[in-house]
This record gives sequence, C-alpha cells and structure tokens, in this order.
Amino acid sequence: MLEGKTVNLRVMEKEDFPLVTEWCNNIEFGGEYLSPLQRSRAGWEKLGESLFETKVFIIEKKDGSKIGSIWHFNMLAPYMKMQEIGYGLVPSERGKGYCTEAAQLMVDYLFLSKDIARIQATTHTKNVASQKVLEKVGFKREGTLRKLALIRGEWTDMFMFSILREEWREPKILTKTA
Amino acid sequence: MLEGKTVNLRVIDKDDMDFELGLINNMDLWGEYNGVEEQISKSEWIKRIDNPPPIWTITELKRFIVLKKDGTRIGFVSHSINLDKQVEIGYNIIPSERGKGFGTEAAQLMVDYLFLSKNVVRIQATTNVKNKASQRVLEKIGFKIEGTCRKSGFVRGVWTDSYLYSILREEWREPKILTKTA
Repeated sequence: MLEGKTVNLRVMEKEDFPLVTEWCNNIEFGGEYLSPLQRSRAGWEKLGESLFETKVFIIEKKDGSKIGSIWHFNMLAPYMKMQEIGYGLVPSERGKGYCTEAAQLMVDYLFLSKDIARIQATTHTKNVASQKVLEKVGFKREGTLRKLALIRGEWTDMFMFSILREEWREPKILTKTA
Repeated sequence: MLEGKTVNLRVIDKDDMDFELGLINNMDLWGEYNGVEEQISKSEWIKRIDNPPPIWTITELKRFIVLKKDGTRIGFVSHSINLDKQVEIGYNIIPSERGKGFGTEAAQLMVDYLFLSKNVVRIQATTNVKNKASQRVLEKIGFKIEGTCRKSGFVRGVWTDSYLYSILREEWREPKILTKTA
C-alpha cells in the first residue's frame, strides 16, 4: 500500500470488482469528460493480462472508504519506456485534494520503482480540474492531440501532459529511504 | 525444512501470502537497499506461486521463508542460477529482527544446503556498497569480496554500485550447521 497524508493507494483486489464495476458502468461517474465504458467483473480480471499491463489502485481515505481509482499503463513499443496514468474520483469527494495526493503518490512510486524517464497523462481540453491536479504535481503541458478521443459522440481534442524524472527530482510523499 | 540453531528455512508456500504481501506492498519495511517492488494484489501473488514467471523458472529461483524456532516468519532466503551458470543467494530479514544473528545463520544454512545438495563450485552474492550489515553477514560465513559492480542495482530510483562476493567449495570445506550425514 502506498500511504499519503489523507489517502492511501491499494492495489485492486477481487473484492473491489463489484464496486469498480458499479463506478465504471455508471455514466454519471465518468462525468462529461469520459465516454461511457461498460465492463463486467470478468473484464477486470483480464485487465492485468492485457498488452498494456494496466495496474489499477483503489484510492482510500484514511478511514478505509473507497473514493476512486488511479491506474498506470504503457501501451507503446517496448523501446518507448514510460508510464501513463489515469484517475477518477466519485463526484462527492472531488475538490478536496484527494486526487492530487493520489497522483503525487503514483508519480513518486513509478519513478522510485521503474527505470523510466517520463510519466505522461492526457486530459480533455475542458477538464480544468484534472489539469489542475497534473499542474500541482509538476506535470507540464506539452501540446494538443487533435481529435484523439471519441467522447460522448464527439471527436475531442486532448491535452498531453508529462513530467520528467529530473523535474520530479525526489519523492514528495513516499520516502526515499526506509 | 533446513534446521539451524535459532532459525529454520522452509520453501515458500501459499500460507506465506500475508507475510510476503505485507512486505512487498510496504516500501518502508522492505528496506532501503532493495529496489522498490511493484505493488501486487493477492490474486497476482497466488498466480505467481502457481505459475511462476518464465524468468523464475529459467533461473531456477527457489525462495525460502526464514522462521524463528517458535514459527514466526522473519525473512527470506533465496537461491538462483543466472544465464552464465553462476549460483547466487539473496536474503532479507524484517527490520525488527535484524542485528540478532538470524540473517547470518539463514545464509549459512543456505550455503551448506547448496554445497551439500548440488554440484556447485562457487556461490556468489551482491550487496549495495552502503549495506554494511549485509556485507558483515557474508564475511562472517566466509565469502570474499571480488569487486565492485558499478551502477548494477536500481534502488529507489537511482542506479547504485554493488559489491560482488563469492565463496568457493574448497573454502567452505564442510557444512557449518547442517550435518553431512542424516
């Protein structure tokens, strides 16, 4: 488990499947910036075996309540060594800093555990809340990927953000030494 | 089971899941000289026991739990063979049980076991250049330092140097803990 001040990240287990299934099958959870994605519980089992090696973590408050998820993956060629992250919080827990801390924990963890130079993330151009999360964690906006995503029936632009190891420099939350 | 005076070694099994996951998923317990492991779920852990990743099979990686005589799990020892046919051991004791000689005895048991059971002429081990406790374990059981492997370990985001140690069969000569005969 990766521990922060207000949230913990815990690898998704089988017991979490019903809840994450409910989240992702609820069109309102994704909000206006995600396309509706319907997935079965069996679908979650297969996720880790995909080519992208997606690893999903549950975001938990200190009292144990599950408030969202954050994940990392790499879907490029083997010589393009980087990790991409994505995240989502239940609407009632947004705006409280939880996602920013979750993203910082994830960035710390990825640079500490993997020999990569870059972590990236994409956001809808209108998703200001998500962009603020990335900026607070030190990501820089690199550019616009035009008509990258089909969201709610429309081809939309996305911003590409990235943070480099030398910009991160050292972990902000996780400790470097025991 | 390999029995010593203060510890026993037992091959890792499904019952050890909570112990190992509690360490792998907790960066602070694993120690500052180990790389940060990928966080894994219970089902992934069980899958790895049933279906070891190919690299574990190719290197014949065998992992043991270190137990105190009262059955408490306090660490790991492992052996493997790399592609150049060099036999290597590794060990880790949880922080609260360090400094008591358990690591030294566990490593000695492993060395005795390997020389007694396999046609091995050399056993090697690497340690982070800053990991004095681990270096003392190896020196106490007769390993000699051979050199520095530069930037050979990726530890907490940084490539660091390691020392390479080895012991030869003729230096070991005979088991220190395990008996030669049953």
